[in-house]
Amino acid sequence: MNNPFEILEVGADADDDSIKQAYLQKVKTYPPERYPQQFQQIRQAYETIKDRRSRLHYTLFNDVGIDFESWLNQALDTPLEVELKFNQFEQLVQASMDESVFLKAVVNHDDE
Amino acid sequence: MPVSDLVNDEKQARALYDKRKYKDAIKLYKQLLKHESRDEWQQALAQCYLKRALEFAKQGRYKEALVLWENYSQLVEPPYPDFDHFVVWQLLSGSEKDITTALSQLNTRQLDQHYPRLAQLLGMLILFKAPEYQHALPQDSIFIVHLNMARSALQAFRDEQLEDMQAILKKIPYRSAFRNFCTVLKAVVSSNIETCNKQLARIPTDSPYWPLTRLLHVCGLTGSSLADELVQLTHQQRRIIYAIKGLDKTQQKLVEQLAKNKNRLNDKAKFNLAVQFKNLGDVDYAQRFCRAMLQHYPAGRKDFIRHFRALTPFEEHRLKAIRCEQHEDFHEAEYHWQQSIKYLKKEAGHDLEIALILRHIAEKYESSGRVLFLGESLRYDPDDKETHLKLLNYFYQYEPDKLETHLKNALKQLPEDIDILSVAMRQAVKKQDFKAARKYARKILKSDPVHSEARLLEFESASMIVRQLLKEKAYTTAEKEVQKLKKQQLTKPQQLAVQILEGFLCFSVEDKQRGLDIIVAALEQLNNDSMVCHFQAAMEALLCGKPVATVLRALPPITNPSLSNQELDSLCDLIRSYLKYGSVELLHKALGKIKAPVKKSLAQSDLDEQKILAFCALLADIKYFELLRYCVATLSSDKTAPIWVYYRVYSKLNGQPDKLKFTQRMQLEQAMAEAHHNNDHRALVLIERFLTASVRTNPPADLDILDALLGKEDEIEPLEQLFGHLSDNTVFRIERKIDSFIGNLTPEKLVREFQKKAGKDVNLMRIVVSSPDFLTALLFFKAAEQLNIDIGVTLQDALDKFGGKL
Repeated sequence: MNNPFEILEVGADADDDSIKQAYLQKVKTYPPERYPQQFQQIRQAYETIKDRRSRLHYTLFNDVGIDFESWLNQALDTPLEVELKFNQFEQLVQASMDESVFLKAVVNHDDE
Repeated sequence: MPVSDLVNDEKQARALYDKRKYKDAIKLYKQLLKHESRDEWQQALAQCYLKRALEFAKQGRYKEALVLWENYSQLVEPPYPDFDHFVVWQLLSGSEKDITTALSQLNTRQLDQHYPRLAQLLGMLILFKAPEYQHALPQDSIFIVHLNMARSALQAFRDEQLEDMQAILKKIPYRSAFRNFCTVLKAVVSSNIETCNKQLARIPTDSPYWPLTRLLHVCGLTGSSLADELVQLTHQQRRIIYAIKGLDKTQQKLVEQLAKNKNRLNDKAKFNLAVQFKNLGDVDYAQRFCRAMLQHYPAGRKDFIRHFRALTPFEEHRLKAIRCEQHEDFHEAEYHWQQSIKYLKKEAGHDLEIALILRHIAEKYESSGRVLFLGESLRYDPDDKETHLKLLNYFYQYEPDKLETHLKNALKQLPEDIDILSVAMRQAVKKQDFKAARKYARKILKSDPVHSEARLLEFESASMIVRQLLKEKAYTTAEKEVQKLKKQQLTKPQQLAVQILEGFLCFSVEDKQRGLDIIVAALEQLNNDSMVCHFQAAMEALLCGKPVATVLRALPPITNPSLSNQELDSLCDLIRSYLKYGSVELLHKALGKIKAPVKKSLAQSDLDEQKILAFCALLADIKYFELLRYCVATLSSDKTAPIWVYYRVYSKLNGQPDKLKFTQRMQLEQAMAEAHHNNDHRALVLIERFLTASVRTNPPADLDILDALLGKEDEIEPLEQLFGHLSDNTVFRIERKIDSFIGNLTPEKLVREFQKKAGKDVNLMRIVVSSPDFLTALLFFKAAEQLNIDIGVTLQDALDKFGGKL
């Protein structure tokens, strides 16, 4: 995901203040000491759209739309956390138990 | 069978076994056993059966493996070393009865200690698929104890008694066959996704719980990551996850399509998916994606217009321009950018966009072309600092006569900007307008009190103002200025410089001798060497318009002239600093006062060659050829390095390239070749510059003859008359356009194109043959047409100009 608006989670019509707020919030979540890569990405995104001039520059020369990944992100936007019920868990276990489960017990034994 | 044959067969059977040819080994061992029932052969045969069974199992042929195991087990007494294999084969393809029999043969030690992987697998099977297997297992094993605990934990989960479940899980020890089961269950009920993922990461990939771990991980994903994982799963697994994640019918349909096309998801497929499922989420997203895809999949344009709003002409051109840039076709890109500007101009409020586009185009050009676009961009966005600085930098380097106008404009737009003010300050010093320089320096210091350059130039400018006042005999004003200077925070050398000014003031209005004493005291503190001291005294007297001889007489005479490397450095620094503020003529006069001792000193001293070269460069800069010639003659008579060759020729000609003689040219060309060979960049640049200047000031006569023969001047005229009215910018763009297509265009092809327009009455090729510039005119027409520029000249106009010559 390279779209700075998406990285900072702001709309395409966001103003300077809301972009700055979003940036500071992101930096709080991803401080540079712990998440240097993410921070770098966030910082770069902020620099790209921090004021009207830079936003216009981005929109004119870099904004060629969004990529497939970004479109899928919103097309399949589902909650991250799910509360798994027992029966759902059981279904998952059943669906996971194919032949490979058994083979692993043997193949790995052979490796030893 | 003779004994020797038996020995041979045994050897052969063993060799076959070693070569893993178990089938043949089995045959031989069977034959041997028919002759004699030897225990070792029986064991060897058993091993052959086992190995062959394992090989079958590897190929997924478990039934065959089981048959061979039967043979093996008849020859060997239990417990069998690879019994866990046999159990798994039974689980994979045996009957329920066989499985139960196999499981019932497992003893406690095997289950609890020897076969941990089998125990883990059996645990999972009994918990979730085949509880009946439990009864076949040794009931006194720890496995059974832990199994019951795991079952209780599951029951607690079913009853939503999560605390009870956690308590039970805690009781299951780390080394249990149910360790991964515990971790999975903890992950499932963890409070957030991070903790869940941390737990899941503990499950090794060879655990029977690993496939379940993967499914659980997918449950914690969204968007494209969820899609990426879902398409790797089976349809049944996906259906379970759809329900868990709450994907609606359309979303499910999208994922199914993705799964179907996962190995051939090209641009077209992606575009079509986004169009088909555009209503999933925000339609604008689908539109933005499809718009981006049009660059790679232009065939989708029709569908795009049908499903979304049509692109504005501006957007069409913008996207085309970006696509051209991606293909590095900058000429075409520029055309589309110009077109987008055309559409932007039709509506108000797009000035900044226009300016940004012009600056973007400018980036693709070199020097003068870039300046044209940058300058135009300021019409739409007049206060862009970067653009002003780029322009000022360009004019400073290449067109200094235009700098002043642009500087005024920049200062008008950005009167407080430190960088623009710095340029203005430097320019004022260059023009020797010290009042203006001081004004700019003070303005800078208001915003940035520690700006070192402004602080220095404020002092230097103020000093120069005092010197000018002294020269003009405006002593009262000079006195006031000196007092102002003294109030500033000054360094020690600056205090002494002010003291010199005070001395001259005193010399002029009060007491001559006292004034001289003050001057001498300051100069002596400033300089260690008497020669440097004399030079500075002369320079200061000249700048203040006072008698040089009087001041020099007041100084101790130069008795034993000898310059050290450090003193030569000081002299160079002093010359450089006066060069900034004073005129070259004054420098010549001041140097004239010390040239004799300098010459003597240079002849006697053992100075570093690089220091002397730096001195020579400075003398060349200020065009003080007399001393330069002396330096070169005295110090480089035996030196053949290219740089010395250059200075010898240069000083001899008083720096005048037009006086260069043939032999000197040869010398320089040879030196240049040597400099090139030695990577002597400094000498190379100096010689090259001088030779070029010599060609420019005195071009070889034969070129004129060539021009005269070709009658070039006459031929330029019609082109000038036709296109002379076009702006530099337009001509620039047209020329760039011509460059882009000329490689694929023959004159014949070009003439053919225009012949259609001209009609049958005119033969364009004949005009081209007699006036080659007509071809240039045709190129101009073609380029202007492609760029969609109305140049106000028609083919008929060109025919009128060139046709008359026929």
